[in-house]
Amino acid sequence: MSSRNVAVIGGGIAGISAAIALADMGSLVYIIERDTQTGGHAAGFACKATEKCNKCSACVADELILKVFQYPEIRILTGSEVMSFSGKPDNFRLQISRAAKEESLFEEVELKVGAMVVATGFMPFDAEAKKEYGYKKYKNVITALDLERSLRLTGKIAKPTDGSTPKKIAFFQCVGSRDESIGKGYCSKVCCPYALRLSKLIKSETPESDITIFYMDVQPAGKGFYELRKSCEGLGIRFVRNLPSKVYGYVNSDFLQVKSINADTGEVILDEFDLIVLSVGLSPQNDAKFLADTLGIDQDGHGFYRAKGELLNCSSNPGIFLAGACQGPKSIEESMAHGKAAAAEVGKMLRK
Amino acid sequence: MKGDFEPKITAFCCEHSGLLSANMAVESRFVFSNDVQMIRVPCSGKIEAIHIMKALEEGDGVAVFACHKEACQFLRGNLRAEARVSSIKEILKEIGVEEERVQMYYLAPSNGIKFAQLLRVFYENLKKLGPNVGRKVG
Amino acid sequence: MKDKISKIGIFIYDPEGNLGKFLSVEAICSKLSGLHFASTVSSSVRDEGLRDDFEEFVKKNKLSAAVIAGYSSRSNEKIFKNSFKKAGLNPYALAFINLGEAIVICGKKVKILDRAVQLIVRAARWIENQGPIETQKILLNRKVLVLGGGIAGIETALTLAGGGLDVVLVEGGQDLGGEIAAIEGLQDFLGDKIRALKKEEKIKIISSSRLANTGGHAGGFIVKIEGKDESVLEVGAIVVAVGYESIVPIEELGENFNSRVIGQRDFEKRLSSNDVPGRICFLTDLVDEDLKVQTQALLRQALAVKKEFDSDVICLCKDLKVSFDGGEELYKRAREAGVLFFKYVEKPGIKVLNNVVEVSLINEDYPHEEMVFEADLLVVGEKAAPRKGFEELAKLLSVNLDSNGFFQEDNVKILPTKSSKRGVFFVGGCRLPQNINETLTEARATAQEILSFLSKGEIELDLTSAKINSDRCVLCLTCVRTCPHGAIVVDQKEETAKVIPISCQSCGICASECPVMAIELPLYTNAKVMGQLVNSMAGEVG
Repeated sequence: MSSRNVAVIGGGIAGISAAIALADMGSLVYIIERDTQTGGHAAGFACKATEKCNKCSACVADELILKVFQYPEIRILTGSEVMSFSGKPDNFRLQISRAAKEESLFEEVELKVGAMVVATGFMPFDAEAKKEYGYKKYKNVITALDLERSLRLTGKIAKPTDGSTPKKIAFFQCVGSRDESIGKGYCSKVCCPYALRLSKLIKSETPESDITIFYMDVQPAGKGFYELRKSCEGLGIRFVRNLPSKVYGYVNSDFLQVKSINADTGEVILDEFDLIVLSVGLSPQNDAKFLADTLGIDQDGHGFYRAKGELLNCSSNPGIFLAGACQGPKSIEESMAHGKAAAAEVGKMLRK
Repeated sequence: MKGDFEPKITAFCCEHSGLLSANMAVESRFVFSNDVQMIRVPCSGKIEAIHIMKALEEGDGVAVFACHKEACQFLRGNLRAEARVSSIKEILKEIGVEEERVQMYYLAPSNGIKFAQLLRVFYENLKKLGPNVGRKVG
Repeated sequence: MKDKISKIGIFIYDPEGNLGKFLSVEAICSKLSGLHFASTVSSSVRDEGLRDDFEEFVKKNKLSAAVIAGYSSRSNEKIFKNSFKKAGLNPYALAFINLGEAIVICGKKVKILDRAVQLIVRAARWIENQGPIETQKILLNRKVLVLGGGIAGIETALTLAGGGLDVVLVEGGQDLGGEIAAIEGLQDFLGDKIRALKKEEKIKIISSSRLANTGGHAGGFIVKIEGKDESVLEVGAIVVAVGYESIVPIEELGENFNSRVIGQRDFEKRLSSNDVPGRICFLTDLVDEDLKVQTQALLRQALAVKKEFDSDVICLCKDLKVSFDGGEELYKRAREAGVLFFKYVEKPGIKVLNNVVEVSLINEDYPHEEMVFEADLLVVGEKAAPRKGFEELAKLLSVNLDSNGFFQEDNVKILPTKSSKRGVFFVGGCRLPQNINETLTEARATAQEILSFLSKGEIELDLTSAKINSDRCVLCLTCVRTCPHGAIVVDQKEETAKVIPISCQSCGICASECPVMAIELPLYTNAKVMGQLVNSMAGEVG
């Protein structure tokens, strides 16, 4: 017997968007979320509005999380992971391990679904792998994600060493993106937009701060991006087309020196900064391969789930669909659209 | 006696920004002003001048929490609220009530900490201003 | 027990015992019973237990309204609403409050306990006179009008038809395919799509026609199509996918624009007719620096030229915008094939002498020296411009254009293809020129949004929309002008303004703007808001 029930693996932006669209179409949807709550990475992002909204879409997560609660047709299984999987399209069986509510035990749940949407998202690039930048070694080298979280929770930017406000800040772009040397030969799409918005926010709140963005190429995103970049330049944010080669510092000291090449003369320049923000890219989930093997879906050369042809939502296994950044780097807006598009494909299959 | 004075604040919260931020502030347990009453509205553009005036009659200050500019759920509701707040400030000046008693703030749904901070600053300012002379007696 | 207040019950739930850490729930209950409120406390962990506790509480006390007081987490709201609905009660007579609020806004003068009771009482006041919200069944037309037969329109139409809706696709020109029809590598892909489109019984294609008039509202637009034939249709939704104009930025090139300087689209034609010289220079980012379409075309064309004709290829750009699927790999392949890339900051100098284009620029890497390239052909990146008819179309649909003249999406927090008018969507380049994969995803997502809306063929609408008192309305049209969603129309016969419930999003802007106070929002009536503002509430403590 075929089932109109759908399992969505991952409760981030893409997963929630897909689930809502599917519930609207009359499916019973299970969201299988590993974390204790839905929303994914985006739920930890900070609003980057200055005198006006800068269209960072961080608030989308907050609204979606609340919206999904209104749907009786969506069952959210938090603390859950897929253990095994069998069956054919229209009749899949999924074994879920779920943290039981009362005790600290796990219970096994079996779900019977007609189709599945994989929306497991991404993993921020592990900045420690770029040893030359000294992440974790020097306290004042942080990732953009660290900065997002601290802005969301404390509303301010501070040097991790002493909690003081940093005066001279550097953003390093393409950390874990467009870098063949570490096997990341792709653009993560989102880092330029977020770095520009973050730096604009910092500069607007603390005009005396001195911000430099070290970059390769500025990647645009969506409407009004040109104005965003111009407003950053207008605020006095420095853009340096050059990725630094090394950060020198001392453990437990807040002294940080950045080595880069002067574009004018080709000579090596050393510059000091109070805080270095690494704009980390989007990598596949650490256990992307485990799920790929479990579900029998293909991965591409970078470890993202491979989409079939131009049907960006279809995996190599019929009945299993892809949504969001697990298929390749995507912004919040794109993840939302991709999630809905996945629901359209699921609907098409279930209707047949 | 001024030290003892506890200003009473009415905070109009837009459901799409202020209210969600307020919830976040509550959940994160950021302590904000002492005597504040939150009133939810579907959009800051829904707040009428009479509501703000009434709140001033009953308390010491009114804060309006709206979505950031260009992010209003209903396009320009926040700008309407802004216009309304500034015209109320004009009226207050004329009748001799400090215009600082009415403030407009822009927030995202996830600005819990900012919500608490803004309300704290507003509270301190009202404390400095002292009791509202326009407040209804009795 | 027959007075009004006793019908409001207070349901406190505290599954993790968090509330108990800060205040005595029992003390709240005893204070509430002093105020004649029925109250109970549930500490059930499971949703089912919570539901059972609530339903029993409602039944036992014969409640008609309830205040649900918890400590954070709004995830349970639907449980209570469902229970209320199931019992035939008014789900809008439920108020949810977070008692955490009492903890953070108590102070020297007010104790947590008093504050908590105050919050509950205020919430009870908020709902005590909340009448039931009427519902209205509205039939939805399961047909969709798609304007534009480019890839965005085609993909939207196919997805809609795949989802079981009928589609009328109106194309202004003779042929389908739009912008991408000219791109050689996409011919097969497009051919397949057009074949599928023509084969699909649910899709009707009307070419050489345009939208001449619209009326009605989401679920039931009346549209008039003009062209070879005239027709009037009823459709449930309208998708605008009319693309954009791609033009060579002549004003940026000045007097140098001649036959040796061409745009990317003209070059595409040269490529397909094998008319490619030995030295080619590509120049992008003169305008429209925030679009990736130029860069993708540049990389694709440069690679094709290098591979098929082995010409000398030099690419000059401000930024290599590779943030599209496979962008970085395309860039890598172009470099490996021998295409040269230089980035500039200042606009390069262009001279055309004796059929040779001379391009000079300051290379960003070595700014102290000027570089000069000679080429037989200069291919410049094109500018995306709105089409001529955009303004007229926007007026016809009562939607907005942005500052650049493209269609303006509604709000950043929702799917970017939604317009401010319910049932009208913008897909593809008419909103924002994007790369093909992005456009396809957007098209499918939009189709899904429409499927979610129209598939059932009817909608049961809770009439929380604004209500206009026709006796008071003086037809000043303030509400018509201020409604951000085009949801208010004039009823000539009744001589009043009228709200279209399906288009109204209950923001209440009209209610606050109406000079004669003829408009009320059922869930936020003036009386309710004013009631909250009054200080001395009966029974209030603290």
